[in-house]
Amino acid sequence: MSTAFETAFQDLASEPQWNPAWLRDLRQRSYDRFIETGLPSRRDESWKYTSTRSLGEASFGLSKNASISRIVVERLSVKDAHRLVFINGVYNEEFSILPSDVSVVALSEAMKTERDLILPLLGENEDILAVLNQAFFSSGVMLRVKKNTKVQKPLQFLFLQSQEAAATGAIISPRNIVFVESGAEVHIVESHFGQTQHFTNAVTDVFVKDQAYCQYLLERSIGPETRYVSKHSFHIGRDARVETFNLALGGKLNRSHLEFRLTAPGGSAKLDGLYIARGDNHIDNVTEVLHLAPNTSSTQLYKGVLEDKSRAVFNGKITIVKDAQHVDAQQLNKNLLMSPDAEVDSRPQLAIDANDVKCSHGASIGQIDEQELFYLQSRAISREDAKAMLASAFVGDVVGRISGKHFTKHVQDVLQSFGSART
Amino acid sequence: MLNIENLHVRVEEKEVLKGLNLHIKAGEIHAIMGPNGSGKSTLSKVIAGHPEYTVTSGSITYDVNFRPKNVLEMQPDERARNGLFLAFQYPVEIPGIPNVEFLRAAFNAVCKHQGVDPMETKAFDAFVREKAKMLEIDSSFLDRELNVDLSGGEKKRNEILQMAVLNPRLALLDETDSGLDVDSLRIVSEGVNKLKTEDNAIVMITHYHRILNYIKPDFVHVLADGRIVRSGDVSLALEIEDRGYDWLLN
Repeated sequence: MSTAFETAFQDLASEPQWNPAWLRDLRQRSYDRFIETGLPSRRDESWKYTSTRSLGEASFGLSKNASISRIVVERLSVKDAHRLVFINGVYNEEFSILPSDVSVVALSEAMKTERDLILPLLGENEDILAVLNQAFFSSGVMLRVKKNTKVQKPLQFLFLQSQEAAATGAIISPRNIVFVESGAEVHIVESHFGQTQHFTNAVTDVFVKDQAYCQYLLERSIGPETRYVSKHSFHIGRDARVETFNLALGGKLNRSHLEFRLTAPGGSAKLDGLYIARGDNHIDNVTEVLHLAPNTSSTQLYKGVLEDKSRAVFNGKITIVKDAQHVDAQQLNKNLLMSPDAEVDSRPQLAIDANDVKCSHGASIGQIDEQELFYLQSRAISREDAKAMLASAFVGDVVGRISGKHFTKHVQDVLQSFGSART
Repeated sequence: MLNIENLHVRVEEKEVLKGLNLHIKAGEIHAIMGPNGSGKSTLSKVIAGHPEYTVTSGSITYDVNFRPKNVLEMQPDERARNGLFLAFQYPVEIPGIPNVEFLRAAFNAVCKHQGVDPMETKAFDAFVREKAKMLEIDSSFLDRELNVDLSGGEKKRNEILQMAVLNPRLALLDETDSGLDVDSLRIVSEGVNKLKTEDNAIVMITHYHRILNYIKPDFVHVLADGRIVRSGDVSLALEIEDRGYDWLLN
């Protein structure tokens, strides 16, 4: 296992610009810890249904050539949006288009000016893949939306791979930190569209301060050999609101872990998701909602469509600590199996230590209804088209829950292009 | 147009149709009557291709391009694309699919089959609205989810709207009259009559004589215990209205 990342780590050591002394030290400690612990195994609760074998058996390099054509950037950009472009995980200023009312600083620079703020964040990870990210992370950004600023246009974090990274199967380790200061408002879409056999291991922290609002669309529409793992932590302040939509399409390993820390009264989180797997795809969704303060609320609807021999996991945990009274927490996971060989494991979990809370959760796994299928077919619609219509009807309500005007059409377009790529 | 010879059909382990013969020509209207459980709905579903029914012997042929074709070898959607239509006794509710999108998908599937370009969204909207008007269907109905929360009568009207949009050569109306109030029955029947031409045919499956006051059949058949036991003209329906089915069963 240790050999999978060894070459990449040696390569990294020869990159002086990424290795000031403090960083070199952090990387080495993280790498040592990772080697000692190893990749997560099925004995690990949150990895019970997901194998990391495809990571352990590979040999990842490090891509240093970050050239990419502008055409690719433009093609994958959300229309009428600002964007931060990352190539092989490294922030690229040239292709980025920034709004005037946010500040963006490369993490390596931010470490010089806001070291006390950032270093603790980097240091205290429990998650072993986040530790691996720490060993490798290249220059991500610290983005700050200033107090009471409402950023009108959406902001896209666009993650791209150079051809070299794609060809060699590189490990790509984005690390970003977002501050939405009090009273501010921002709409972010984080996009991963890679189709090759690289491995993305991303870690993001989002601080949504008092009375602030953050909409966050995390989308991965990735290839059958592409591996993606991420951890996002949302730190939600008093009367702050976070709305996430987690779109996962395709992937050999496509795992997201979204953590929501409701740290002060009045905070709320809406976390919805849609995953569609086919072929041998494996999609794993972990959601973790921590109600750490009274009068906080969370609602989540995750829907999955599984075709062929694909597999998916939904692992949703809601924790309500003692004294977090008057919490309202809801969770629902629904799955549609399009094939007898597809499989899903759904594990909703509640851990409640407060006594005056409103909490509900549920999960369902169903199949295409033969009566519905026959009805559509009897109206001249082919069986394949009828199935696609029923699957699209199944996901319609969760897509309909996306707030505001910015992302609904975009998500529909991404879904359509994923659908039409079916062979 | 449609010829059924000695048709035997099983549902699970039970034989429901036991040697049924039926011959339908273009321009004709047939009514099939019969007591509950006689196999009426089974007949319509077998013709439409429902997967739950197994034909154990006999044949169904249907003219495609003036040549008889074995219906039993055609998928349900293929049958529909070639002009076979079943108005369901219990139309299926499908949440998440807007009625108008469903109608457009169906219409364009037929267009594609006929080698015609699909109709543009706007043109189709106008086209479908006119058909809806003919059936006195409120246009808000078109934007609602397919059959969801519709009354029994509204669902039946929606079936006839689909028939109007697809303009089939052979329409099977499975108890389209049940659940309709008098006004709806009149509207639906007038709609069906407007769609009737010399080139198409209609088979009405019904318990009651009522709909036959509006849609005049050329032939009336009585189906009992899986066979057609008596055929005649409309006077047979009147006689059944008077005397019930018992006298035909022994």
